Amino acid sequence: MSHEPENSVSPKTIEQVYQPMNRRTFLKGTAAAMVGMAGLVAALKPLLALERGEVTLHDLLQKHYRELSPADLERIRKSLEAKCEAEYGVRPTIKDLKPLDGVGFGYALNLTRCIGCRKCAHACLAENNQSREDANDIEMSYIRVLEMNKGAINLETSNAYYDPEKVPQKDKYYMPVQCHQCAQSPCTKVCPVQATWQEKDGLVVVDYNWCIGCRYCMAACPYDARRFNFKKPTIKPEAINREQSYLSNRIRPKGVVEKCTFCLQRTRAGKYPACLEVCPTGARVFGNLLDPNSEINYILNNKRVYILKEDVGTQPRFYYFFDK
Amino acid sequence: MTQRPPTAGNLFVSAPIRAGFLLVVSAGAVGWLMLSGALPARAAETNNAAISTADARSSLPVLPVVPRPPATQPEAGLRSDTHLDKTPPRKTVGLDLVKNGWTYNCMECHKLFPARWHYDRALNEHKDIKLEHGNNRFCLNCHHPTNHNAFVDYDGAEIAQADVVLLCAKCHGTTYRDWKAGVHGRANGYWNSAMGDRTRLRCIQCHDPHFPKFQAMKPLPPLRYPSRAVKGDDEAAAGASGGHAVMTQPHGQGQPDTEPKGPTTSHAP
Ligand code: HEC
Ligand code: HEC
Ligand code: HEC
Ligand code: HEC
Repeated sequence: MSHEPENSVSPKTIEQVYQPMNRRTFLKGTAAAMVGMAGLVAALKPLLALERGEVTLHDLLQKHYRELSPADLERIRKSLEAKCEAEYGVRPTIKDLKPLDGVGFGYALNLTRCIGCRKCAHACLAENNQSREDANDIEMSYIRVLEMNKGAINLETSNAYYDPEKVPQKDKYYMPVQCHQCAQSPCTKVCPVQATWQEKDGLVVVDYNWCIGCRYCMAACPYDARRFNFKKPTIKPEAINREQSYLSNRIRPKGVVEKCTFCLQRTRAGKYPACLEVCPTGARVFGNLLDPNSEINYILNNKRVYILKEDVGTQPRFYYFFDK
Repeated sequence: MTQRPPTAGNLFVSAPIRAGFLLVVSAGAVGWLMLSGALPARAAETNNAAISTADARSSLPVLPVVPRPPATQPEAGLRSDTHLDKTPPRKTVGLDLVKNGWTYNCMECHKLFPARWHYDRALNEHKDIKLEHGNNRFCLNCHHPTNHNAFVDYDGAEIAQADVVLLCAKCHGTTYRDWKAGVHGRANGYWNSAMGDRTRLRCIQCHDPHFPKFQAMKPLPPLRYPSRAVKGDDEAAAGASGGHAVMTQPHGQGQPDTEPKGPTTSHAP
């Protein structure tokens, strides 16, 4: 597999490089020579973190999520829990919920109902342990609500930063956009290290410990549904959602790409996603596409359904629909 | 248990007598007050005494505080989701009337006189209710003519308060069908019924029955980028195409504005 080479560095080699004094002088002395070797510097970066005790050897040598043995995963989850406790003062439970049998998730959003109140976007912040103490630091929500001009579905004239006294405004309608969990997902195809993939139940997930932060997936996504985190979230202990899952809302390391997983930590436990729970208009409908009696199938069978950018062939699991 | 006007039979009492006798002034200005001892006891009041003591009228301190029994609706969603604000858009008030610190149930007054379909004038009571429900212009389309503590079905049967959804269903069949299918209105809790229960908001938790148009609300703040991307970086601001708004204003970082431009007292020697 393409990620083998990174793992093939044996612990011994690392141990040899890991000699603080030597390495520091080495870095200093060769700084000039390094100009053309920026790649190498970047490659050595994790070792600086290692030196500062921010990461352990285990972290550096961790395998891809799908190759982890249950015992490894258990250990990693425990160490992530401890890390969260050390950094944020709260110990979460980080689960590893697997796809349910006979379940394929689908999400539908009623464009006739939505009034653009942004409650979903803010619930997303809370559920997924994102910074939200500062009103200017809330960009990490996985949901963007676009204000659109009535009469057409034209993303180019949409506005995500509308802020009137009251919504809905006349002549406008609102279109929340989040990950569409595409069956033909461009993001997973471009990932150079296969850190993102689609699971059996349709959810596109990221192994946040495997992601190298290159952001190819963000460029590939036609829905602007992925977010790159430039920093670790700042959250008060009491604001941390302790129900976490490895592939979704655990506190992610800095410098990785994050995304909506339809609240995997909730939906794989049978609950509705957070954005649906708070919607005051009831515009959001979620359910199991494989169950013929589910709400989502009721919509696909009875309503006018619209697929955003259907022409790019992504085959989303997220649908928009109209009432009238 | 609950505070009620003393028994005096069903009387029409003139305003001054009533005021002296009961310390109750009926602001509704109807020339009567129903004083009845043979009232159906309302058990709900004691259960909910703690919830809405705020209804006391501060202008009438002598009157006892009568909590307004809240119109309890099933709790929305899971208790464990404390981080999610699932408050429904509308608080239901239920079928009780609070006046001058007293709580009445509808029939305490309404058993005195027959209901009327048509009024050629504005109502003397219930003045706070402005009915704007499309063509649905008659109170008795919804309220039961002989039992105002209930709603009326299309065949004249009573619809209990708890089944208010059926009232709306009577005229909004297609919406009701969607609601039952979980597609209109909001479900909370578990999508997977094998793993847990779901709750469903009732129509009147989103729509005011008398003014059903969904109310506009203030949006939560837009998803702004942290300040590092907005200000504080001169080069970035100057280089960026959208930076003109920043550039037209002089940056004060280098020389803080110590020279007062207008008359000011802060720099007095
Ligand atoms: C669409 C059906 C409908 C119509 C028409 C209607 N009501 Fe109501 N009314 C309701 C419902 C439902 C409630 C219960 C509200 C709640 O629980 O929040 C209610 C509650 C009330 C209440 C008690 C709550 C309060 O707001 O004080 C009064 C009084 C009342 N209605 C009077 C009237 C009058 C007078 C009219 C005619 C002008 C009228 N209603 C027309 C459905 C209706
Ligand atoms: C304080 C006494 C009082 C109470 C309590 C009261 N009403 Fe009324 N209500 C009146 C009066 C008086 C009228 C008629 C007003 C008029 O003639 O202008 C009226 C009229 C109405 C009407 C118009 C149709 C009709 O019956 O003639 C409705 C509907 C109504 N009330 C519903 C309610 C409901 C529902 C409640 C319980 C929440 C309630 N009322 C409680 C005094 C009361
Ligand atoms: C007696 C029949 C009747 C009943 C009962 C009734 N409605 Fe209506 N409703 C109407 C009519 C008529 C309209 C106007 C439709 C139109 O204008 O196209 C309407 C319109 C509405 C609208 C749209 C309002 C708007 O301006 O967009 C809503 C929402 C609504 N009703 C909710 C309710 C709810 C909630 C209930 C139950 C408390 C209810 N209705 C009970 C007849 C009824
Ligand atoms: C979660 C909140 C919510 C609940 C619960 C809810 N509605 Fe609505 N309803 C809305 C919103 C939002 C709209 C669209 C806004 C508007 O047009 O006023 C709407 C619109 C309507 C309309 C206007 C026609 C249409 O489809 O646009 C009717 C009629 C209506 N609702 C009836 C009902 C009835 C009947 C129930 C209960 C069976 C109900 N609603 C429950 C939020 C709700």
